[in-house]
Amino acid sequence: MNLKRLLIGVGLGVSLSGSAYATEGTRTEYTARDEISAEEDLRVSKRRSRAEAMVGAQYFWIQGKALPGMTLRAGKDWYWLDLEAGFIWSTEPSSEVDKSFLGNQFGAFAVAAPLRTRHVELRAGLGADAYWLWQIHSEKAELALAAKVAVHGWVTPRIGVFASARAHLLSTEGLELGTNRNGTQGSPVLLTTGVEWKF
Amino acid sequence: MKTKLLLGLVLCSHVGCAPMTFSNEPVINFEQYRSVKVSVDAPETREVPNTSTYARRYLRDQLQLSSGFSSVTIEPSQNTDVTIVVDVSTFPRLEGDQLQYDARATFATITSRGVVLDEGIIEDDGYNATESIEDVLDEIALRYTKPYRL
Repeated sequence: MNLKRLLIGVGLGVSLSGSAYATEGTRTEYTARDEISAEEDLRVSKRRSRAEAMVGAQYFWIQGKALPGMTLRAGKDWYWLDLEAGFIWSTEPSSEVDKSFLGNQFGAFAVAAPLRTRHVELRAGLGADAYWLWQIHSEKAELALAAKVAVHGWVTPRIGVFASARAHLLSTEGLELGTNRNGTQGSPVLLTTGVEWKF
Repeated sequence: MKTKLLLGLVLCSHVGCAPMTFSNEPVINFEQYRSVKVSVDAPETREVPNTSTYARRYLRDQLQLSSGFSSVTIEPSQNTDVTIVVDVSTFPRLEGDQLQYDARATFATITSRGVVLDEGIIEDDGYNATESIEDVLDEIALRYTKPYRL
């Protein structure tokens, strides 16, 4: 038994499958299955502590608009940076603007991930949501300070699905999340769903 | 399967999807003031000869693209509901070893009876004098973007 195996057995095997091994005097014994499990956990642990990056595609569920986009997130352990870019179409006709394509959405969020397991991640963060309506005017942009939460599920080690919800804490005058064109109120929480791929 | 998908979309449109509206409130009443005349006075730049004429045409084009005015002209003799008078000045400045230009535009929108409806000062910068002038004129045009709720 070499030192590495002993460390794996004591360090990780004890904490994760402590009841599965037995101590007999100064000699530690464990089954082959526990050894594999401990080594795998060590690999997962090492992988978790490395910086990671994911690219994805997402869709914003907005009434009267279509907003598909791309996502890029990178980080390590608790600390993540999320970037988003999308295209905005109005799907309801307007008598005021005779264009359906309006411009682009951009987002940048600082995100914390308090829960990260092999299959699920739960994340929450704060950032900026920007809507550049360059089809209306080249300088027209609406901005918001946004809070978002997201849950990610890994279908395979590299392919995952996610859903996020965001609310605008502050926004410029021309951006009304939760308000219809006619002024009636709706949900102030904007949902997105998407798929992502881990590099 | 198709029914479930359709049901999902219907539910989304009424429950899950949030409404989000982009809106623009007009700074002047475009129903009342439908036509505008543009007058721009700008300093000569190296890039564009007769810069004032160029700037006047540039602002006219920008207003025609996105403003709430139904008619825009640069003809001084033409009668319009309002006139936008713009006076632009530019100032070169060194940023590191790069020459930059600050532009400052003082503008007023005046009715044919001489009533000032809107006025202000806009500042911006650019890599050359013409670009900085275009930037401040863009912002003036942005101010008169047509009203909408999308």
